[in-house]
Amino acid sequence: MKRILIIEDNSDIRENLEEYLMLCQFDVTIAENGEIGWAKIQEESPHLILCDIAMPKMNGFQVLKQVRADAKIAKIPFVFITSSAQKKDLEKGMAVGADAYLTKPFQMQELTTVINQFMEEKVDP
Amino acid sequence: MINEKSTFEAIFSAATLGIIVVDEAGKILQANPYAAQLFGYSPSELIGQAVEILIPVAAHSIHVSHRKKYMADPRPRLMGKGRELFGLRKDGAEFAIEISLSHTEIEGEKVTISFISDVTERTKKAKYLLALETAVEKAATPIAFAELDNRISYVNQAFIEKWGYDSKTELIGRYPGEFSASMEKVDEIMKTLHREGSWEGEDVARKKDGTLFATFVNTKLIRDRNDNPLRIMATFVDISNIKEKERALQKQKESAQTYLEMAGSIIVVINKNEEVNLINREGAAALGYEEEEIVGKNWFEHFVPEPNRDALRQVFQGILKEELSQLVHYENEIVDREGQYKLIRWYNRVLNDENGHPVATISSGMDITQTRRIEKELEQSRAQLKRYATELEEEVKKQTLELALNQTKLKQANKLAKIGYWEIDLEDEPRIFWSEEYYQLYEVEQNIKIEDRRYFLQFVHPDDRAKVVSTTKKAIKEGKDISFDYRITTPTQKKKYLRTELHCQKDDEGVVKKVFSVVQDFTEQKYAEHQLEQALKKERDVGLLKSRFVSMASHEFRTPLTSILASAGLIDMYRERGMLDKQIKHVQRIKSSVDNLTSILNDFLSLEKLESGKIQFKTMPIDLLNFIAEVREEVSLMRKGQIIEHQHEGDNIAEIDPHLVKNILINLLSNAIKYSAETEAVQLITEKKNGSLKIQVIDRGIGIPEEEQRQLFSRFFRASNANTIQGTGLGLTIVKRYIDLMNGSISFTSQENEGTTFVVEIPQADTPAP
Repeated sequence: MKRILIIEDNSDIRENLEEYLMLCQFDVTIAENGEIGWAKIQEESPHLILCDIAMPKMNGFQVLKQVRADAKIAKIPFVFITSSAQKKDLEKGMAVGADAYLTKPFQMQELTTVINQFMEEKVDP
Repeated sequence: MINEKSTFEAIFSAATLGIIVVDEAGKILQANPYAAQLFGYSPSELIGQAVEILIPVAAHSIHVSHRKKYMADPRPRLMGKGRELFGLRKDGAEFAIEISLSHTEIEGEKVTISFISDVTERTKKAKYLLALETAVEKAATPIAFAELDNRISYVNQAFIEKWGYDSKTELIGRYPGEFSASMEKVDEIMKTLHREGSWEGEDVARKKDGTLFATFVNTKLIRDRNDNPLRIMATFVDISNIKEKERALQKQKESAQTYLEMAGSIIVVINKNEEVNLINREGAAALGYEEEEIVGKNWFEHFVPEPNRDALRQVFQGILKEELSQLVHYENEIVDREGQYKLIRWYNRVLNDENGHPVATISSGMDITQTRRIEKELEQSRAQLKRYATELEEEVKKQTLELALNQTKLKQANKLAKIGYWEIDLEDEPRIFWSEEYYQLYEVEQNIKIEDRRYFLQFVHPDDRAKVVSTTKKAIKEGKDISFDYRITTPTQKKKYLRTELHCQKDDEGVVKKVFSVVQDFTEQKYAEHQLEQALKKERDVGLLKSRFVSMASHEFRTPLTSILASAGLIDMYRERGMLDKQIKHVQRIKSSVDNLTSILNDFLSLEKLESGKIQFKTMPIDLLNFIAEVREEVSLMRKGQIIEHQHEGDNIAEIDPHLVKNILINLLSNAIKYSAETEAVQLITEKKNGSLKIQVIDRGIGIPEEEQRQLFSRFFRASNANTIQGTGLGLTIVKRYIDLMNGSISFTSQENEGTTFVVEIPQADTPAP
């Protein structure tokens, strides 16, 4: 089973996404802020990371930067889920090297489409 | 057989060499025709003459003694060896000769035979060669010769000096390459020279001490009459100066180019044919093209918009034909690639050719489109004021005209226009006069006796006094007219804005004799101006609020909506699987998210209601302990785990509007929960005594950064350390409005990472304890 890590500080969203992805047959791990998220990435090196931007302790940009700086995990697909519709934020996200982003609110189908796109590319070693 | 004697006679007469036979006494015995012709005589004229007839007079005596010496020791030899010999012709002309002498005996008599040749031509040639050699040797230009094996065989003095050597011997026999920076290059040159017969070009020479200098070399293969190479000649010109200048020029050119590119303005050169010769990067950018796309194009056809094209063209041609004087400043529009017009302010210069005729213009331009637009807007924003001022002026004019008939009426006009005046007579003893209207401006009784020139200064706003005094003094001192504004407070405590126009009257010598001042009340204008500024400020504030609202709404609405969409998706999935309990759970979750959205909307609505004055408060006696218990119940749903501790002092019954106070409490408590860790307790302290209800909410949360505390109650404001925590930035605004409504007060103390204490006080009509 493919592992997906959700880093999101809003508990409703976090739990809902977790539940949904589990029903989609993924192995899901959750983290409620960037710091915990970063620790889980190192522990589990998931197949994909879904990450909020505005979070306490460590924000999404910081998490992504650290991921990209570590050769062992740098290749993990990284998807921002953001409530900010500000174009500037999104551009910044892509500039620091996010693979995709989802703007809140989004339909579950959109989420599945984005995830599948990376899962097809990635073959389990 | 030919007769021997006649043979010799024939030789004697036909010889192309002068032959003269002289006896021991120096008398000419024989002279052949060639000799006679050489000296301009016939042979018969010479025979029997002393040989000295053929010698210049100056040499006669020395010749006689030489002749005698020769006779004493006669042997064949050249005469006068090492010296130039001259013959004297019959016509007196002297000419260079060479004589060889021989001695014999003819019929027992000792004779001397002289063989004479005319060497005039040869001498001339020798002299010429000598002069040539000297010229080469002394020439200022370094010259060198080399043999066909390339070894140097001659260098002149200039060469030795130029290359820093001491003598020729140091150089002779060496190869030219040794005197150049590059032997390889010289080898190539020599090869070319042998092949083509000549070479000229630049080379770098190397001096004896190793220093280098640039030189222009001209070499030639010298050939004899039969075109066979004889030797090589080379001349050198030191061009290091020229090189230096070339380098400086290049540098200058480069830096000029750099300046051109760095210039913050547009620079364009347009030639006679209206074509762009040069445009800098800034210019190209303004037009939206690459530089190469512009250069060579007709400026007016491509970059000047139609309406002005022909007019500008005429001006341009006029300048170039010297029909119009140079237009130094000019403003016109250009059109860029997108078809946008830009207004450019140009500074133009005409470029002349060496004869002083204009050939092109160079213009530097600034894009003032933006400036103009801002000026226009400014103009518009002032328009209202102007209109007001104009109307007032019109009114004054109208009234003035109507009332100008007599003095009283004029005074009324002044009064209406609120214009007064004063004057100071500086002659003799300075005296000051204030007009009646001036008193009226200050609303001071006119009939009081005033000696103090500065009497009115006491009414001037303290901050403006210094300005009034110094500006007036300065105007008097410099004899200048000046205008300035200042504020006054009348004895009746009216605040007014006055504008004064000072005028200095001078005598013939320029000494100020009198100062007049016309003073006008323009409080009303000032007030209008103030109103306008306030309106503008409000508009700016609204703009700021709008942008805050957009960013808040973006986050606050999107979060619950995301949760709702996810739950909706999950309900679909659970329905397929027939899992009812899960469906119910998510319906609940959707409901709670919708509640969340509703409460955000309610916040807006209550603020809206508050601001439009639709909320009124109704007080009633309330049992505080029950009331607080209810509030805690409601708030407990929001807790992350915090305990809410409540203490109460004083009366239990308070006279309050329960709806408003509950809202206040829920807001403050939910903030305390939201912004503190789940392990920290939140304290609520209520106190009802001394005519007031005091409520304190204390948390040990993240606190409010000191520099942001001032803005805490503004709409949509979120502290920088609360960015990641949900909130609309409206809660405290609403709390503050509610408290204002109840004539209460709210204050807080806070320290970042330590916690925050809010203190609310609501006034109470003192009710005695039951």
